[in-house]
Amino acid sequence: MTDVTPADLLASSQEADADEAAATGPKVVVAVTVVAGVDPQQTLEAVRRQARPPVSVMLVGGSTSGVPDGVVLSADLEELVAGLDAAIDYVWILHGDAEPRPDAMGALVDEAERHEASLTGSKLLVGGTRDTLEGVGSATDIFGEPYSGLDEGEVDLEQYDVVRDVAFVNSVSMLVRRDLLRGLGGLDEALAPVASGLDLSQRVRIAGGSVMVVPSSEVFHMRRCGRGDGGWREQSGRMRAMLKAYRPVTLIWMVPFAIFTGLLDSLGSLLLGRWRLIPRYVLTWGWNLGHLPSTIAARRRLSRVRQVGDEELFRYQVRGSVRLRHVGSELSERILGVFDEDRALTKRASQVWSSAGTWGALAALALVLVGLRAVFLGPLPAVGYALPLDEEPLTSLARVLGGWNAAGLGTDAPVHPAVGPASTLQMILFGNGVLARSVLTVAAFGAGVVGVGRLASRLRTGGAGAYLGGAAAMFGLPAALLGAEGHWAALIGLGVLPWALLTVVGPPPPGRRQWWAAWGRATLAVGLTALFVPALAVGPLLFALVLKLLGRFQVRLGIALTASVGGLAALPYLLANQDRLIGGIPLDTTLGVVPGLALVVAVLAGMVAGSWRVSALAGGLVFGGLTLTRFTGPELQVALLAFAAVGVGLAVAAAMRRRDARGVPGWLALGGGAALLVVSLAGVAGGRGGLPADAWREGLEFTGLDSTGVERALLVAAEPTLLPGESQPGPGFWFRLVTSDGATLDQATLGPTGSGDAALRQVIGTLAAGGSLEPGALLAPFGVRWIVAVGDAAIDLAPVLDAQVDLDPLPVSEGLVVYENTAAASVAETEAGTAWVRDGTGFAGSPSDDRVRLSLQGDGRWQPDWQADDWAGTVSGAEGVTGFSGANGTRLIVAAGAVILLAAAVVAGWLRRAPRP
Amino acid sequence: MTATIRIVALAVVAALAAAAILTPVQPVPTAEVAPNPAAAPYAVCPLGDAARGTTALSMVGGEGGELALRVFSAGEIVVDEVIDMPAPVSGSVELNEFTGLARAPVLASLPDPAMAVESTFTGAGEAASVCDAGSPSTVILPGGTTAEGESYSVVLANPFSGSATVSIGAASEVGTESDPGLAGVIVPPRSIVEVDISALLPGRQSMSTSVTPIVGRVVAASAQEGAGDLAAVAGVEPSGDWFLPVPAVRASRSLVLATAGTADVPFQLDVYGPDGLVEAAYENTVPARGQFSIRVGELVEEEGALRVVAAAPVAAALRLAGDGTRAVVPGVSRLSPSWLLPGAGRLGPSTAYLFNPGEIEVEADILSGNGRRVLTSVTVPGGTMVGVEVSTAHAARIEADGDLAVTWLTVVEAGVAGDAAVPSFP
Repeated sequence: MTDVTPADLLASSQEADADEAAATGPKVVVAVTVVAGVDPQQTLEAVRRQARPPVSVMLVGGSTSGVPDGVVLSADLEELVAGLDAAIDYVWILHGDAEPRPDAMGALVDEAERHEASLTGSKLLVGGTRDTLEGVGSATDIFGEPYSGLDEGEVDLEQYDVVRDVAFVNSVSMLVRRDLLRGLGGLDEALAPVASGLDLSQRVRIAGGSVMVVPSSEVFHMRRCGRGDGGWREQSGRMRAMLKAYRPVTLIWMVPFAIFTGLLDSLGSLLLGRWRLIPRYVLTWGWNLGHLPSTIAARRRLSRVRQVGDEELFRYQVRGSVRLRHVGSELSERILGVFDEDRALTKRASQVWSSAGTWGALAALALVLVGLRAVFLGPLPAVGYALPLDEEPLTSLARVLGGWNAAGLGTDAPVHPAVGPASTLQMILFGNGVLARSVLTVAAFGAGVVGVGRLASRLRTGGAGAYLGGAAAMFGLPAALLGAEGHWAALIGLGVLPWALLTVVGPPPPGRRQWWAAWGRATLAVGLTALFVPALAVGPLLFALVLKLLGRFQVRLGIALTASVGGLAALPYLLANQDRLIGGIPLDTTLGVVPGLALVVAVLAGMVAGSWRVSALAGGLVFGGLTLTRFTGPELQVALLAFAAVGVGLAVAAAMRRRDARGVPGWLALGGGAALLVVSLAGVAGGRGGLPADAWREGLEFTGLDSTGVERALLVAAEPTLLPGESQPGPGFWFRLVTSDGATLDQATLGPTGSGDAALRQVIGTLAAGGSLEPGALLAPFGVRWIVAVGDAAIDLAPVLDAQVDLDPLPVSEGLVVYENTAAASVAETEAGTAWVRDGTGFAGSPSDDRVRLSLQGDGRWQPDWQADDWAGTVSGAEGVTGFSGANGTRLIVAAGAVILLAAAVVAGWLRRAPRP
Repeated sequence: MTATIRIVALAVVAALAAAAILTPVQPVPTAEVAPNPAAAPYAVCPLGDAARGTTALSMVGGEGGELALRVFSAGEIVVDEVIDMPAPVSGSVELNEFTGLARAPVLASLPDPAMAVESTFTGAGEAASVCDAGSPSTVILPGGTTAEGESYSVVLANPFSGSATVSIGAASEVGTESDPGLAGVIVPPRSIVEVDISALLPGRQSMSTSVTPIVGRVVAASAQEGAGDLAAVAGVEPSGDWFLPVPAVRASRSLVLATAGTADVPFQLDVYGPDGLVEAAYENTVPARGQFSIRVGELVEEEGALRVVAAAPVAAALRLAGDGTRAVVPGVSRLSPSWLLPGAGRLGPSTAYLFNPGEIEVEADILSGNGRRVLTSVTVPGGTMVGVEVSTAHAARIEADGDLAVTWLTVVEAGVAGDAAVPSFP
């Protein structure tokens, strides 16, 4: 006796039902389309296991060898369909790399019968997985681009298990009414797999049939035929499918739109670093042009069976362009991804808005917008070292590259390296220096906020506090100290600094390619930082060493060491201004009581509360940096303050870090961090990024009036901070010279003093003592046409400037007392008194036999035929032009530095796809 | 181990925080010390007149060189002459050699700031006033009158590049005076403005005016004419201490004290007569923005000297008035052993009055203008004033071995002129 279990009984019952259904239900022929390079045996086995057995199984497009018993071979689908018995109801088209579940065909047939569908498709699952969805029918856009709505790797939780009408089903597994398939001519053999499914689905719908997806019919797809998500053949096929399906009136507007969106898509993809889309579009249209005759023939054949208009196709289409939506989404993802390495912002909406980091980032960026509101409404102020760019960016670049530096009485010392990138951007912006400064400022503040946020995240103190810490860094006390004296370039450098520090934190790159990519990024970031704050060229290296000392953090010391070469372009400036590293006029770095207290509480409580390494690092940066500023000169001070600013950001981030359980220290740290943040936001108030109100933007415009050549203005003030850029101590006041073009960024620092400066000091001494009735005549050899006194200096000098005969007072503005020198001479002037005008970094005028006196600090490299004349000199006027042959050493080093930065950018860009460690 | 490291880190950060808070910030460097004002390299003679009378400029002292004389009028430099002055400097020029302008103020650009320049006037009388550089602060023009038959005007000269605005204050025996024409007087560059006080405030027996610059700088002087003589005085910078030699002349002698300040100024007068010092012989108060006048004859019968010690800066001058006599001789506010008398002798024989307010006698040499010839030597006992005749035609110098206060006076038939001597400092 044989034992029979309930399961056996159930199985035998099901088999009986299936046999009955096969005998009485619709008759199905399976057409397995062979995929090149794939043995269809597995597919045939799966077909053989179907609960509802087909009438016959046919292999389409395969070779005659190795065909199993009972399987009929057919050359193509059209021939197969043509040869089928009229009693056959359906043809199940199945790819040779598919593996249907046993009930797949039955489900397709049942649902097709139930809904009277002409074409049904299966739910596709990724082969080799248990439940990863590949597709459950798709919509398209007007251009035929599929839109499934699935996320990559989305798991099948039966969330899409509804039988519904769709735009198309994949040709991997589709059941079609035999008569309809015959009438439509089968699949378009010229098309790639997905496109052919789309094509057939559209033709079915146009013929009045319905296209449905049947999720209960599950088919595993090995994807050997292609994933259908790329390739110009798929794209060409989709376009051909649409060209075949649409009526002419639709094509008239669809085709131009398709070309236009193709262009936009290509450009957008270029921004994402994908260049292949352009040739793909070209190939797509080329292929379709080549196949235009067959497309037209297909349209004619379809027109014979057309039952519905294009409106029926539109019903199942999504609005707009799927490609553009995808590119836009990817671009915004890239941009938002900048904020969070863990992609918190680019997760699903519900997660984005519940993320504290999101709110922190948004709040920080809002603070940046508020803190820079004046920048959006008008030009940046010209005050301190925050000075406008020269109107000729090429001249500025020439000065960076060893050309004559016009600051003061002129010098061969290089101008501040920040002039280089600022002037380059100015050139890109068609010479608009105001816009260039604004763009740099906004970008730097945005970058600074995000950079500190990311650095804090990299140091494992991410979250809302990280980005708010970024705002504290850009507007807090150290940044405010920089801004108060107008150190605009230092504020820009501060914006880049966190990115430079970020590049030296993290595990060693896993491979050579990744190492070079990381080196490129680090060198570029370090180089850009050093261009704005030269002393920070070694900053990231020192930062890495401190991190190493603290332990636990992973540091890329090798990259930090070699990336310092990025600061090479700033080296000549540092060498020429060595005295400003330790000496010079120091910044006021007073630590106020309230910010100091908030800092101490935030840092120390943060250390006790659990973030001791980051808090210690922050404390070291802030307190160490501020302490060292008491012993250094301005060039080191701005670098130390930039570090201190980053420290403030990290202190806020660490203090406000989310903790599972806050004890008293945790709450104290939170309070301290919040207080520090609030105190830091004082810098937001002015709306100028911490810079003082404008002092010199319009104040010196008059100096260019009626000038025949280059002239100078002697600016005097009681305090050095009241003057633009660097100034010199004089008798009872501070003074400096600027050219009649106004105080520009390239003149901010004066460079080493020379014999001309000594002569000028002597004259100014005489002037201040009231020792000359004709001070204008004394100032004329220095090219001084204007004397501009500010504030108390105007009052102090009034008694002597009132009693002279060659300085005419001018009522220019309320805050300035201005005298015009009626005895003035131009900086470059012939013996006959003809002024020469500026020509690049040199001068030009009418050729003459006269010699031309140059009121410039004597330098034999001025040509032609330089002859010293006291502290100045003369050149021959015969050529009508004079120029400085250049400081070759400076030129070489700066050029090498620029090449290194360019190379680093290229390396970083070329290897950008290297996975980030 | 980790706890130890944390504690060490905490201590290090706390130490750094303390250092950041306690380490003093670097002091912001201050500018260099402002230089002492240099002696003005120029002198302005506001009262030049080359039409109605003769104005001569007498120069003495300093190193030689090129002396540039610029006559300015209505915004222009109408005369620009350069005169070579060989060292040792002593000489004079008459303005009508260069110009015929009735109002011909002169800006003299000096080859050496140590040079002193005096304007002397002849015509309807005689007068002298020193050419000076003006002052950025208030100056006082004491000793005027607008009584019937007298004309009194204030001349404001601005030879400089910038426009000036001044306020004129006036005080008389009736107190502080006011008139719209005295407020906010604008003096354009390279121009003069003459304010006729006798037209604005007529009938005052004794009057002093003050000139306060609001914007720019002017050089002020006053000119008066009456009783057949002229009087001129340059702006006097107020001081708390004044020395006034009092000559014996046949005219009414008055001591005039004036202040432009807003508070009453108590003062005391020390009288130096033939019997020596009478300390605090007289005490009184100069009313705020007012003047005080006292007849000197009540204090000194013949020759003598006065010393004024005031609680706040005032101007002091000796006014001589009588038939055919009008002169205002400012006091001397600083003592010096060396004196230049550029106007002495130019208008006729003059007398230099040497006052030694100290207790030790002083030996003094009266030299010719170029300093090459000693005209005479005198001993000035302590607490006395000595008059010495000066007959040289071109100025004089005085070199003494002690501090003196010196004025000079020329009394001729045409009138009386006098002035304070100019102290000479090496």
